[in-house]
Amino acid sequence: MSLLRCIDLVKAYDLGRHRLEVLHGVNLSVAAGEYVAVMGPSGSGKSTLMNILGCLDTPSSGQYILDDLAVAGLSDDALAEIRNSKIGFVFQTFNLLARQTAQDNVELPLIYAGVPASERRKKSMRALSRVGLAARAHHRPNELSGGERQRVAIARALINEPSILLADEPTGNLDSKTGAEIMRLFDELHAENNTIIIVTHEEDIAHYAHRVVRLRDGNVESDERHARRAPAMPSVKVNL
Amino acid sequence: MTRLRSIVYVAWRYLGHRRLATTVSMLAIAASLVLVIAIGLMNLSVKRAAIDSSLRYPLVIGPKNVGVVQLIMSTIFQIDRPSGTIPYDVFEAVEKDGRVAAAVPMAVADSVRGYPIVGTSRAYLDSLPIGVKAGTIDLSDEHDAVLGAEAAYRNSLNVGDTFTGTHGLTGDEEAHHHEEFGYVVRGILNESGTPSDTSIYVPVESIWAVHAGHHHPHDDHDEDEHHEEVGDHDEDEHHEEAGEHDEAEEHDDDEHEPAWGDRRLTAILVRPASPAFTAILEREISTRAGVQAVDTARAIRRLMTYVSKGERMVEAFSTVTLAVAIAMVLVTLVMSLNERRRELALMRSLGVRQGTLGAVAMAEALIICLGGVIIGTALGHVLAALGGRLIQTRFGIAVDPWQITRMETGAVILTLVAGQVLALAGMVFTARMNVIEEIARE
Ligand SMILES: Nc1ncnc2c1ncn2[C@@H]1O[C@H](COP(=O)(O)OP(=O)(O)OP(=O)(O)O)[C@@H](O)[C@H]1O
Ligand SMILES: [Mg+2]
Repeated sequence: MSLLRCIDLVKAYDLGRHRLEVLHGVNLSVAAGEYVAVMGPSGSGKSTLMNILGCLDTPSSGQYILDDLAVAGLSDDALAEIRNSKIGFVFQTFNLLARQTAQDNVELPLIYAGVPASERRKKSMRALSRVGLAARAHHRPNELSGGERQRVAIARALINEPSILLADEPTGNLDSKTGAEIMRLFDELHAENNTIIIVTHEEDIAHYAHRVVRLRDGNVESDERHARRAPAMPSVKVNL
Repeated sequence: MTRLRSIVYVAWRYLGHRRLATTVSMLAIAASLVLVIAIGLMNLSVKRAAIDSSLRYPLVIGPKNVGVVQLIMSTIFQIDRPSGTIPYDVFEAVEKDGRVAAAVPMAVADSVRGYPIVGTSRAYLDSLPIGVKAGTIDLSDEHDAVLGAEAAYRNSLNVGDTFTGTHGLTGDEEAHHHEEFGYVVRGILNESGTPSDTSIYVPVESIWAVHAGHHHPHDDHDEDEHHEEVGDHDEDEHHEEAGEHDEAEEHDDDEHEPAWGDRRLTAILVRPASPAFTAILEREISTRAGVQAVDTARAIRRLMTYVSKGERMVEAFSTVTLAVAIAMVLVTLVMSLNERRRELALMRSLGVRQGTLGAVAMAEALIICLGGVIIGTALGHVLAALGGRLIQTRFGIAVDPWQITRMETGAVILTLVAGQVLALAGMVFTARMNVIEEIARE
């Protein structure tokens, strides 16, 4: 039973004169609990695919089924609702609000969802603890390291217990040591039964995943499962 | 409900991030509203006071060389000093006329610390729709006086107290004191919000008596005043009376202004038995040498066009201030939305609806406008209460500071509608943004 399924997914941009097709009929199926790395050269359509999977964008043709729901053709508001409840995004550039504390940033998805403040505080604190940043709850992003900022972003992605965690080059702005720390965190989240899809350029990073999907020029070039390479160091235990 | 609360909460927090711009915009709106309220109320009060009295006495008779507006100002509002007098026999003739229902003599020359002493008839006091607070309405003796509430209070006069007048209406300490002629307070009127509040009523005969033996010092004094007055009404004259006025006559009258002892009046208020007689009486009386009758309603309309001109200017000014204030709100709103494009995109990616983000922008504009409206109306009416108090004490024109004028309603609606339009602009802004591009931006 797959959590998400893409059938002949096509994405094309209308550039006035001509049509630029970026995805040429992608077929992909991801089951709940999988840990997938999407790789491919620059411009191959990785981000475009992620945006569709995350319901930020809609395909030009083909189908995208998430949790048994056909996403193509849903209204903007319905898509927003799906993003809020089922998708957790992690971005390369963290996308934290500079003026707000780590905890406030983690709470953002709850603000308009009608969750009472006390409940928000409790949930955000739990999410921050999960990424090992409970002690930094009241720090602003500029008082945190890059790795810590990305952890805050991950805590935010987790707060609504999404069906799927999507990370587009989450380590792209981090040095390799910090990147490895973040990947260990993803490992732990995967161990807790989260479904994860990450985009990466680095084979090292891709090795954390159990399955690697390679894109080339808007087509799936290869899709293989492999035995995970054991992490070089034992993972840092985070408090729950 | 909780969603609405979150929207307002987030909007409030955004406003908190740019406290200065928010405060300045709010105050700009508030200031224009204060202005609107002040002129609206002032205009309304003057109009109402003028219309009240013009309804009671449709005709005013006064000296010919006085501008119509000045005549009205001095007899109805007692703001302007009366200049020139007319003989008492005009009153006697008018009173006897069958077409006249009521005629009131008025002789104003003196004051008590700026509160005018109005020589009049007992009949006039009886006709005032104001009851007595203390004592009785009694002007049977030359030395009797009935005081308006404000005039009594400000001069600390009670029934039975005595006082004397000062020549002129300015309350000037240097002016000649009529020490030898004392008045006794017989009654004090209720507060009425009319010029009666600041008046001191005495029998008209007492005015003549006070000035009877004092020709000499007054002549000097009058001379001084005179030049001033000539200047005064020359100005008025040219606006008001151009054409229908006889230069020679004016001169004549001015140079031989008779002493008060000669049974003179400053004005006569007339109520014709029927409205049909107003125009006829106006014409007939005006044929007498040195005397003119003025249709109060017409004069007030004319007065109001002057007031309106000023009013329109202030109105235009306050409209401009309001427009500037609203433009300021727009600029701060657009600036802040632009500043947080990325944040808006992030919120969209986190599953916040387009409409919700638009609603936040809307709430921001509304909070500023509403805040400005609340501060402005509150401040405007409180200031009107304080200022109105002053105007009432000084001129006896009642200002109801809590009254909401049409101008105020208009300005408030304009502000709120503009707020909505701005909010809509904010919504369009958030809707047109490309979320994916914004969020991928480094
Ligand atoms: N809004 C757009 N309009 C037109 N073309 C676009 C748009 N967005 C993306 N593209 C094009 O689609 C192609 C795929 O872009 P995409 O961002 O998915 O690549 P990517 O695999 O994520 O690359 P990278 O590794 O550099 O992030 C590129 O050629 C890009 O220029
Ligand atoms: Mg990309």
